[in-house]
Amino acid sequence: MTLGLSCHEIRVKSNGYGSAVDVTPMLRRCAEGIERGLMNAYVSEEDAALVTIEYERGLLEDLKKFVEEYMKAFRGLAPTILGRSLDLPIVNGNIRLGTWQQVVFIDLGHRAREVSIYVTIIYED
Amino acid sequence: MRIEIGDFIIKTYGPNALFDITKEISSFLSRAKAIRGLLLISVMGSTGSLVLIPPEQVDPIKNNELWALVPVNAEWKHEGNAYAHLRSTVLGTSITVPIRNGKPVLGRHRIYFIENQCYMARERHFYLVYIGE
Repeated sequence: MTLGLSCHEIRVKSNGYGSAVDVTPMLRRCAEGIERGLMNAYVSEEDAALVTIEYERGLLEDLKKFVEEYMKAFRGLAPTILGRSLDLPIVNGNIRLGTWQQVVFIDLGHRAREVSIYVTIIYED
Repeated sequence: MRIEIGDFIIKTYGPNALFDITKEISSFLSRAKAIRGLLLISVMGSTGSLVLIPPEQVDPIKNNELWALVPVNAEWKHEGNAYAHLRSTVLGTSITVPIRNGKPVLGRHRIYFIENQCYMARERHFYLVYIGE
């Protein structure tokens, strides 16, 4: 039994501050065909976060409000506190998440741009 | 090197209740005959959280810190349980820990699931991925 490595770079278009992009479908595609493994997804921008959250408009607005009002005193730390990387289980060709749980890119920067999400998978060959 | 997958379900109640899942994790590691490597613990759902804390932190977290982290009533737009979702997003739903001599390297810490939702007998599903020898 050996372990394999699979690496992907996902490009995400963002409209700048407050943009939230559901990247779950792209991550699911990366996991196709892998029976068991671990996926790490990472965004390299210093002013962005990668989180798990229900992708629902009201809740995404709540997260924005939370960052603006409750993290006001430490806004510079917001990407670090929310987190820029996630580890996800892969079982039978799919990443495992709850029904209402998505992986979402959150932009905390100020300009529209295209960013990369680096996906690294360790799997059983 | 190999990968082992495990899963388990616990019944919870909430809100603001912490459940020690260290025992479930240890029994998976012994079934998997783990020696040294890496373990990913991931909980399904968008309203719970996973934390690594010493047991004496359970009460302060339960009684004060969770309320201070995200208040329940703050005119959130998401109906009903926005606070539970936001706690889950901020604290996270997965933890990756090193395994040595078949055990997670935790020191005095234990692995807790936080039930943020106001429910009784809620089932929570966890996946475990072990990579190692």
